[in-house]
Amino acid sequence: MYAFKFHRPETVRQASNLLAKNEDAKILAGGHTLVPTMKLRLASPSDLIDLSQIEGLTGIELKGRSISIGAMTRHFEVANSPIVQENVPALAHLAGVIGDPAVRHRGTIGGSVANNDPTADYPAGCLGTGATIVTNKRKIKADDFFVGMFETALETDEIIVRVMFPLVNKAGYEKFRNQASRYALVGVFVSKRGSDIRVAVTGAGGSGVFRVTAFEEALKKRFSPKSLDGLTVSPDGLNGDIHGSAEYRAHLIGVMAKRAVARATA
Amino acid sequence: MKQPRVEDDALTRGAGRFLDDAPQPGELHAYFLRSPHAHAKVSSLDVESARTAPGVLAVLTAADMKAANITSIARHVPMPGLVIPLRPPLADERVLHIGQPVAAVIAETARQARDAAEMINVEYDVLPSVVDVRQAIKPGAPQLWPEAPNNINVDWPGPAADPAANAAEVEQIIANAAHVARITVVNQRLIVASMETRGATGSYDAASDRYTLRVCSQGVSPLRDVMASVMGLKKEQLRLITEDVGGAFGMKSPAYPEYPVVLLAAKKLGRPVHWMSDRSEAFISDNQGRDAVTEGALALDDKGHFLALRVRHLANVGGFLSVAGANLATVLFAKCFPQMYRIPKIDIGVRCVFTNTLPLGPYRGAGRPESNYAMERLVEEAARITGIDRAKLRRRNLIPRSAIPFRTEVGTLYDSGDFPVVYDKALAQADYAGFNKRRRESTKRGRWRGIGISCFLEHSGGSPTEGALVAFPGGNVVSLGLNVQSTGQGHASVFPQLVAQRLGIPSEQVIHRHGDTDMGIEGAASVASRSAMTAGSATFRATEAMLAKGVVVVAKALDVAQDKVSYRDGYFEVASTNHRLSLFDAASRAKEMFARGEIAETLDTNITVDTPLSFPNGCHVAELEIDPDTGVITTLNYTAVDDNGTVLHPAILYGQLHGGIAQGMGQALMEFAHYDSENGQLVTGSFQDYALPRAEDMPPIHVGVHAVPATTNPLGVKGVGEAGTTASIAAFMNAVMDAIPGDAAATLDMPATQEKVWAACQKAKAAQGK
Repeated sequence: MYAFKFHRPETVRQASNLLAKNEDAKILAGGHTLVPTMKLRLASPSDLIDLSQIEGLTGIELKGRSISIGAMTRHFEVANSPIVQENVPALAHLAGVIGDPAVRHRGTIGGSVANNDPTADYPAGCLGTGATIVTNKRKIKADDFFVGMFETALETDEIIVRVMFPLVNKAGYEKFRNQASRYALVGVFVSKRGSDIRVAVTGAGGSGVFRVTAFEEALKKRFSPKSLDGLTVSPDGLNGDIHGSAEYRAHLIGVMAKRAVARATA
Repeated sequence: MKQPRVEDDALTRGAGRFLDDAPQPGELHAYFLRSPHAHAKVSSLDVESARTAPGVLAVLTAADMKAANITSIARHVPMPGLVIPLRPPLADERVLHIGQPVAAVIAETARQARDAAEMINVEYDVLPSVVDVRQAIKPGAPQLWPEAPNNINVDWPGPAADPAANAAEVEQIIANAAHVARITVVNQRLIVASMETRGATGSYDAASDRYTLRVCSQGVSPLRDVMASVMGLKKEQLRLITEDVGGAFGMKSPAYPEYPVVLLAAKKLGRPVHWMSDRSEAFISDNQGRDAVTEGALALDDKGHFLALRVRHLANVGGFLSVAGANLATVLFAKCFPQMYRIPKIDIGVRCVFTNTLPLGPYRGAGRPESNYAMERLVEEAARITGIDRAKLRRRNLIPRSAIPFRTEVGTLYDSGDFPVVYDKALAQADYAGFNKRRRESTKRGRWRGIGISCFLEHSGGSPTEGALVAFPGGNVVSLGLNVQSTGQGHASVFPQLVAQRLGIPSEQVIHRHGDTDMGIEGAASVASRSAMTAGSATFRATEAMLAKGVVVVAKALDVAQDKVSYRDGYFEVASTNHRLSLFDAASRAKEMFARGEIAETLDTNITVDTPLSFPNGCHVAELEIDPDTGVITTLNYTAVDDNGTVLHPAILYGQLHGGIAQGMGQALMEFAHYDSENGQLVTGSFQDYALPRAEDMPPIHVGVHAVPATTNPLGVKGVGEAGTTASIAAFMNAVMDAIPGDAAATLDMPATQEKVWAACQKAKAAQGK
């Protein structure tokens, strides 16, 4: 790890100013991607801006027809939250299958969403429910937020403060783990909210999380695993590496999508 | 558990003392700059700015090592025709694998050393590289060593007295046989991945001109011998110390480039020099395991009796030859045949090959798993082509108890064993007979169920010689000093108990000491599943010899005839009297008598014993289910019936089997050290990409022991450390192949990853016309 300046702002505004002032600054949320990368000397931010002392960034609340989750809320809190478990159990399940217990007790939803790792689980949860990412500046629809691999719509001094998940009628998440990293080789989140059907895929896309509109159209007719029979995803544009070819990932998207629908309708 | 492991309390509470827990006063830190290329000429090396960086005391390069006459760490048991290229601790003109150390920075802190290393300027002329063993022997492949044409490290003709005549005879049998099963199987390269990475601390005492190397070894005495030779020292000038070690599996037994460097640096700077590998570094600096391609042909008569076996084995020893690289792939590999089977003629040929990969080293089994895997795949293939039930085919060819002692075609003598009983027990315990019913039940749920049998036999012991020191340091305790090194096996729970039981004293009165060459105990380390049998035998003999000396001392002290003195439960007793002397009093008397010159030695007894090989054997059965839609394997049940001879400590025996089975499952189903064929980079350079089995992957394991004591050592024990790995690889693979219908998986190679299994399932479905 290289030397860096450590900041502990007490407000989001202070944090945002620090970000604006220091070009190579990074935000420290749970640190479960950033810190190992720094230890490997693959990242060398000049400044680390720790969000842990800022009030109001944690917690889970039911707000109207949405669940609001503070950006610094840890995965284990989401996994074990009665509010999430009762209203969107698929989201609690998703948080509970991230990493291992150590990761779940440090990693945060804001960190995961902002990092937009192409194999992370939360991007699928956000896109798959039609969540809204709320920053210090604006509200961004998940559909507009995840731009590409490790890329988001966030501006340089923009900080996620919470994520709002709509209360979907039905939802399911199926994660197929990479045997080595245990990240998602393919993860599929499906949901139904009235006529809004979403199928979001993580792990497989060459530019991160994406929706499968063909599956969504089929599920609009009937929200059942059978509706996906015979439907496939093209391997074009999907990741292929030593852990799985694009063809294998394409196939798994179909299998996981069916299983996610089955889980959602169980 | 009746017999607990006495070391676990400290180890599980973080109270162990591993290498990094023992900082030496005033120690400096070393960082090794390593080659980023698989094969390159070092065209220039500029360390000047690093030398003047903050905290830096020295930067060492090949020139420093040469100036100190430390030219090569390569040491290997002699073999005819074996090429042993020089292996400089710091790269000289050329690097032959990624991770090869090029320079060492010594600084006040580890961070300063690492920072300074980034200022070193190395220019490389990248050369073409080759990482695959089959590619390396092809015409036109990059040549690694001028002394090794076609990259051949050794072309070993096998154990037969007249290899050519033997090969011709076997060829004749194969040509005329009713059936010939033929296979080509790959043992992929593996990362050893010990929980504690490697490290070393060198120090030097100018007053005595003596070095000390604190290092994570598997036995200090043999590594001291090698390191003294590397450094050009007399044995007495080098002390090796090893405390707790967090896993080794053979990988920590040899000398490594970092060790002479920290020793030389310590001498130059007059302060201890410490190096500890981090995990990323371990991936590119530890010896790696397996990596071989085996072609086998098994001839059978029309009744399915085995007639002859031919094996051609191609092993990848890496860019340099490590301590046992060629030995494990030739002698140790060949000695495992014909396992439990009667095979009248055997022809084995092995070629070891240099490639631009990390050196090959022993890894749990060291040739035995490779051998057993080939044999059991051959048997499975034989069953497939003959249509004879695989269980019956195996049973038909087992060596019966009546044929033991049995002299094999490869020159080993099986002293004991009851293979048919072990086999029948395993199949009964696994409910082999009820498998088809369970398979039908799985099929109803859309899952494909398979069962895999693996008979195994291996040779444990390796080098026969091992020592033990029974001594009386004063007070009412006896110390047992050993050269064999616990790296997690639980030696402190086993060996002191042997002494305590024989002496009839509480085990708390026996102190276990190990890991210090200054104890003067000779031996050959904890490798080859040998500690219990060799150090156990040495402990037994040392205790007996000590008691024999005690009888003489007590007879003198009490002025009675020696044949009137006997030992029981802590006391030497004089027959028909109430005179007696406690063990510890006798030891003090002996010291006094020795001081007065009345006896030649005290009761302290340092003995070296030769223990012949033993032959652990057993039958393992894996049962698993495949999800054909994804290729995901769920292991449902695992049965292991083993003959490891007399069991000294059941919990440790079970633990060894469980751990070995886990590592075998890792190889069968997921592990693979994958090198890029273009540039020789290790693609799986971290646990993000290198898949290790997790606890959740483990099936329930049912161990059944069928102990037939070894006749070749006084305790009757056989090895157990490598048994689980040796057996389980084939059990898992045979089960996977069995689960997939038809011939779709008949040539499946390890690791049977989810994608490969899925692809085989697709093929099977297509063949079924589904």
